[in-house]
Amino acid sequence: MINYWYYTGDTTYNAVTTQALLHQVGEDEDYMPLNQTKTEGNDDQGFWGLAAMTAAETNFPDPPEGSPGWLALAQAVLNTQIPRWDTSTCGGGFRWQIFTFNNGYNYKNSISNGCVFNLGARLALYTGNATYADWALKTWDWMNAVGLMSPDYKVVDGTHNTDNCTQKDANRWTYNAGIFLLGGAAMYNYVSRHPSPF
Amino acid sequence: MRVRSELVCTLCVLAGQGAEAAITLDLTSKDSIKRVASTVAFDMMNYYTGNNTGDVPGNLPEPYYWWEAGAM
Repeated sequence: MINYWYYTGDTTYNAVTTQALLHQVGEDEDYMPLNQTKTEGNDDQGFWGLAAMTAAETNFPDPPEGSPGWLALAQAVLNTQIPRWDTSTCGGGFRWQIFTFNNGYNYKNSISNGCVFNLGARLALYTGNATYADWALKTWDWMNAVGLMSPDYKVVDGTHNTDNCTQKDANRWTYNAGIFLLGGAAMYNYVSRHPSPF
Repeated sequence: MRVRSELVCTLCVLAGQGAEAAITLDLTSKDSIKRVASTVAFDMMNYYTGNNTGDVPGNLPEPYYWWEAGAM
């Protein structure tokens, strides 16, 4: 809906979009609202963070005074996800689920890693902060090393850490490729402006 | 994310409502692109009830998931 406004100039849905984006920020303003966290996955939180990032990038009208800003919300999502990087199996990667009691905690999937890659790349480009680019690079390298992304950029859905990520769910959903495609474009622009670390 | 096909298929439903409801998109026309975007946005927002009295902003009704509202 933010992109709809940005590309058409039609403000019809801006108020309702702002209301929704702010109502769901949760107690810690990181899109982990208490009534969702029981079943919330990294990708679920990620999608809300990406919406906030889009709002920042497009200069979507600022929230009212006293509310968290779009950039701060996007940063908060990434900052809560980074400590979940899991080196206990598969040489790293983010798990699908946040909590051990949820089905899918053993699944390391492309969309959860793609959310961090995409958000990290866009935050790096937006803020110029190299730490965000480091995390984008780290997830990209892991995706390749573990075999979720092929050398010709085919992205499969995910892999279980129960066999140290040997077997893959080989489904190729477009959103997995898409999230890396957009993040890749952001990284390209970031590297063009900040070539030194690469 | 858990997949539900219904929301993803808003466009399919819209396109499949019968020949008279099909959307014609002219990619060479800015007006056409905006008009079609407006039609699709309106139709997608028909799924959203979070701004109704007593409902929760940012939520979609059953059977849709919380992430789908975020993606919207």
